Amino acid sequence: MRKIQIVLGLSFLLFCLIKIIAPEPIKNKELVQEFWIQKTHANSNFNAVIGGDSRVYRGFSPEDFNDASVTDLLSINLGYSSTGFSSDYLDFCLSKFDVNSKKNVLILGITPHSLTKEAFKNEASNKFAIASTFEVFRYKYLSSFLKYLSPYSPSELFNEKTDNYKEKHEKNGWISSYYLEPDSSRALKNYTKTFLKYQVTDNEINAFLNKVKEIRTQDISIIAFRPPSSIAMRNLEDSISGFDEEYIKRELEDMGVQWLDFREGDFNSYDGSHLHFESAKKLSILLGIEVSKLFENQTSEVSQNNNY
Amino acid sequence: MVFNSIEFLLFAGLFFLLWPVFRTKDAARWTFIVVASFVFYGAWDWRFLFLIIFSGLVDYCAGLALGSAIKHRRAILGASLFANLGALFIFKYSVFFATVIQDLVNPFGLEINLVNSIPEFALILPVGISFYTFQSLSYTIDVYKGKLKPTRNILLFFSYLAMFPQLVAGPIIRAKDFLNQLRSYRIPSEIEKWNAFKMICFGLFQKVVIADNLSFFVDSAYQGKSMYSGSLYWWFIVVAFSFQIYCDFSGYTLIARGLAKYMGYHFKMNFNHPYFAKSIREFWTRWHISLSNWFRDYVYIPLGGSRKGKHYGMYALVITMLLSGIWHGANYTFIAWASLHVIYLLIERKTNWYKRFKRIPYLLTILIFLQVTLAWVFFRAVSIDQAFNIVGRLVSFRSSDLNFVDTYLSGVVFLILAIIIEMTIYLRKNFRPLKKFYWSRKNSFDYALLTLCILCIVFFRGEGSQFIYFQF
Repeated sequence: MRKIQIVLGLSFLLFCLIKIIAPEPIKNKELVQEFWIQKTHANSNFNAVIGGDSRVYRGFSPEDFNDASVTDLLSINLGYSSTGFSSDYLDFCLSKFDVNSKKNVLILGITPHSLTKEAFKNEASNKFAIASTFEVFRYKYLSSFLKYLSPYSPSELFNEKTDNYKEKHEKNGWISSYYLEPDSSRALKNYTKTFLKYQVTDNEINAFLNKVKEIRTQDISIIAFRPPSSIAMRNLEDSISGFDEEYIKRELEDMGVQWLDFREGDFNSYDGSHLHFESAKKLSILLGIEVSKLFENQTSEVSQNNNY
Repeated sequence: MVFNSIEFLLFAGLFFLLWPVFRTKDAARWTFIVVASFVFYGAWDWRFLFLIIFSGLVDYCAGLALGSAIKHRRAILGASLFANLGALFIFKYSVFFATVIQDLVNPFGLEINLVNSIPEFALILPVGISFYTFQSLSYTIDVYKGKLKPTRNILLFFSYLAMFPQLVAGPIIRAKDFLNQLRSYRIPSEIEKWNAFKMICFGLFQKVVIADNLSFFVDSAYQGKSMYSGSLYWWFIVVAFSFQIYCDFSGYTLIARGLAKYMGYHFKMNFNHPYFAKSIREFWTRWHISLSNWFRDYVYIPLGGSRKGKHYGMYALVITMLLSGIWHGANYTFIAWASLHVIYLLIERKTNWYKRFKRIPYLLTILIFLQVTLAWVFFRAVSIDQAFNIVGRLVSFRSSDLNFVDTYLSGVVFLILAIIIEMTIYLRKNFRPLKKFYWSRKNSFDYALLTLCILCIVFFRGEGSQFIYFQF
């Protein structure tokens, strides 16, 4: 046993020494997993839930939204990579609402890709949703200790090149991100490829609209918008994705959903698709203000009705 | 539950904390092993525990029946083989054979869809089914042949069958070796504990540092996600896979052996530097030794082995190797992999070509390694077409730029590390000056290397999780 103790002791000493001297790993895998598991398995105590794909999880800051909204709202960003607005995904969003609250709002960041058959598979969110009880426990409660054991990639040691992409996993589901050297045309090629493979189809649109209709029967307000990206991206998506924004907007407004329009020129995208974190904050503040207005209008309508 | 997880760390911690309490009394020891092993397996999918219990009960009863019966012994053995191989067939091969039948009849205009009619439960492959089925079968066959007395204690039998360190990926232990060990208990000596610790550390290092870090590059290449396709790139990938599968499986076995040793038991060696073999025949005495021995004892020798003349020996060899191929997986690729080894072995038997290279052993080792590596292409490929495509790229020597090194720098580093480590360990055992040097400062070397292993596990572990051989 003495030999084992010597090795374990030596390892611990060297571990501490390395942790003191060496910089943190560029990507702490433990914290990344913790981030996704925390948001997927968050408690049901939110008043504002925003759903969508990577443009949403990178483009919406719950903290700035909460600060901007006059009413006391607690929001969560439930965006995942390549998310589609399937019935299951929207049910998942609904499951995060505080059922005792009278002011609940569902915010939908609708991109053309989010209404494709491929996106409706929701592989990214499902992967975290099926995590075992132990995994959930681990990432909810042990990650604060295990983060110190996050591994390095050898390329970090040998490769002196700095990664152009920078991201930070913030609270309540937001990833603030940017490029050191922005390239607003970078994402266009990928999106062109994607939409040559998958198109927005009537099946997915109808399934989505039916589900929204069903949600509208509950006491939940809905706000929808097309997450801003870049003008080139909007033109590309409008021309090849099969997405008809006007139609979706009209249908949703007929159901009582509030549609918000944002102009691409008012925001800054670092890769042509995702918002620079400062623009994401701006968008979140604007959404916060709009949600406040929505609730104010609702309150005044209720009081007017009561007066009558 | 996999060895390289936090769950297992907690499980093993609790197990070894309680082990001294339970190990002294037979019934308590066996019950503890069985319960712990079922918890270990059930953490993956508790429903498939019933399959282990079924397989075990069949062979436990068959053993008892064979022990007392003078007549109908063949029928009892047949029933055990039927039940075990039947379960294996349903869960592992039903989809494959349904596809084969479809492929055969479809060209004649008969449109049948057998795959869709297979019940959903049979589409899931229970982890480790091939391992525990073979282990269970070896018990019954040994009892049938009179090499082993059947055990009457069901707990003892299930301790042998389900013992968690080797339950899901071997080594395949034999009842005649292991039941006696289980009948008593030994408190491991200090040196045994130290050796167990070394095995576990090095096994984890092989798995999480080498195999898991190589898996990303190998997987992306075989999934067609990489942007490189030159010959040099593919040579890098196929050699990387040779080391990935070796380190993955050898790592698992070392951890399993280390855990057993810590309990006071001994599992035989399962890998003995297979890539240093100087013939394909020798390779099979060094790679997955417990499986090779199983096939030798229960298939090759009963088929006549080499006792009935050259031609009969070849026939036995072909059958044994093809069965070994299909044991690994229900796919044409595994049959192709095994067929390639059959060809290698037959050429070796016929020509003894390798003997001419005995004076240049290093070249011989490289030639054998290249043969094995080429065969691994079929083992790893998704389809036969893909395998031939890759082999075509390997031998075409076109567009051999080295740009991939920059992109896959980590992969290159870990591959070089794997090769250096394997060579160092082999030379340390076989090259006298190095052996002498090591033994003169053994403790210091061990301390330094194990500390380095642990630090690498903490700081450079890869992202892979499952062991490759779990799927078999």
